[in-house]
Amino acid sequence: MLTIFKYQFMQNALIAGLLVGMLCSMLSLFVVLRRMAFIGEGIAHAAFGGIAFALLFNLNLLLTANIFCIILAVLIGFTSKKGKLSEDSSIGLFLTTSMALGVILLKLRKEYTSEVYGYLFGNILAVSRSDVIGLLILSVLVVAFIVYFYKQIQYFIFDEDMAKVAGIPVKFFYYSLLVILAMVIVMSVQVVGVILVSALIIIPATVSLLVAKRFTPALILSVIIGIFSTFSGLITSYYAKLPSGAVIVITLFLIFVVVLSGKKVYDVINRKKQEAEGQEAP
Amino acid sequence: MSEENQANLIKVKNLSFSYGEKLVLSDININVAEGDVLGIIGPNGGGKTTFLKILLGLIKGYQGEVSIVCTYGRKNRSHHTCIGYVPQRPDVNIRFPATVTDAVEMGLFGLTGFRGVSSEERDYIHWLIKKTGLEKIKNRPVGAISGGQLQRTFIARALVGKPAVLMLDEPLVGIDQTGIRQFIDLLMEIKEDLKLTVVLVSHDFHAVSICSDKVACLNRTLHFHDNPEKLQREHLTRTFSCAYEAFHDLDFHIHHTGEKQC
Repeated sequence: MLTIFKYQFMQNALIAGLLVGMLCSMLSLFVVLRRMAFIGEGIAHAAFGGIAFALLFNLNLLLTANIFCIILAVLIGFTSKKGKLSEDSSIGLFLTTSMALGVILLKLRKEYTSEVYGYLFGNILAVSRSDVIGLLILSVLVVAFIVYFYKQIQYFIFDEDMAKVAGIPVKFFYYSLLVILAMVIVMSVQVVGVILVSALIIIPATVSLLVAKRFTPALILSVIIGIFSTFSGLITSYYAKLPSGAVIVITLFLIFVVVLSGKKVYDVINRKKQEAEGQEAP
Repeated sequence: MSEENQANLIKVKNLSFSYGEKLVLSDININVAEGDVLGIIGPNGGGKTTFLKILLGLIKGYQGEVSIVCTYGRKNRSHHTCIGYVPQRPDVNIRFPATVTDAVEMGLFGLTGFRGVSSEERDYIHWLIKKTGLEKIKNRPVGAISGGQLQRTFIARALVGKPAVLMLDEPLVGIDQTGIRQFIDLLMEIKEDLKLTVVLVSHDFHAVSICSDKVACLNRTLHFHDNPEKLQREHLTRTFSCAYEAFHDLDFHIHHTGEKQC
């Protein structure tokens, strides 16, 4: 048995990593196709404010950050849907305000705030058994939601107006996706950190959409990429003694480069083959 | 062609609507008989799309009465499933990984709920794909087809739920004269096959007048609502709020052809 699996903290880290990889990459396709990538970035940064609030008042960190991020996610959605602000402006407003609030709250805290670095860039050693259980419950709920509303969410993402005409409750799906995104991001922060979690939300689907032509294969490929990058990133970071979040993101980027290069080569070969067939034809 | 005793499938009575302070529709009264084609013409910003969106149930808070009755075995179905809609500029994500067949099938997702697509529905999808001339490109990604092919895909998607009414918002934009002729022929063929009532919104009054049983000239209020044969230049001048240069051939298109070409 590999030494990595002997330790309780590494077992927690690997299970948490797999769940985070699966959850983020599953949402990734919805977020990228619904053009919500910047919202994910906004929520991830907003989590910093919630974490600082919990640290200052000694509250349950995950619960506080979850509540904080869900409120902000709904506010971002509400102001961009109903208000006169564009989605980008709305995200920018809440993202920066929440980060600024986090900095002020941490400054007010008398104790040393070394753990903040872990929340910013990920600290896999901090993942506890209860965090793993929380992630497991969240995974079951998210997967059940997506499986149950699979077709409706697809239509909502493809053509929101027509989905509404067809009687699909588009507002419900919009806010549900925001709430799920907020919860997944908060639960992923310990593994990859506030700064890097958006990579797990954006890159898996970006890669899968380079090659997949239909929705279900794109979703499956995105999840495979997410799980593979988190798992291999965690193992590499353990042996190379590097921060887990950063290694996972670099792994994702390398996958992106390899797939993009492979696709370019495939396209060139395919084009030449078609040209050759065209010349051979009488 | 509408007859006096034909049931009115769409009834609009004293409809008015404002966006804030701006009055967009004022006291509109329109009835559309079962199986008829209503052509709505008017200038940009004249309230045509708003009118359609009210019929579709997408806009609330209007004054007056609007009712649509489902027919041809579609009774007891919800408002949503009674209408097929082809929007002016579909705000679809072209990067979405879906083939033409997938996109057409999505039109069923509001109806099927959580069950899968039945073999009967699948056969109907294939029939529609064939009918709309999409057979050769049915497995092509929606991001890799032309604008005209995408429009036909959305017509097939609008019809897949077997609606009683088909509403099309400016379907002729960007199509040349030959394309318009082909489009209208296809529309009329589908209308007959599926026993549809059609509401066609366009600023191209020539195209509308040759295939509509009734024409409505809409610019905030109704300036004309009757058979296209009765449409006069002054109705159009009033509707478009100017001496519309293109009306010079109105007589040729409507009166000199004797009757509607389709």
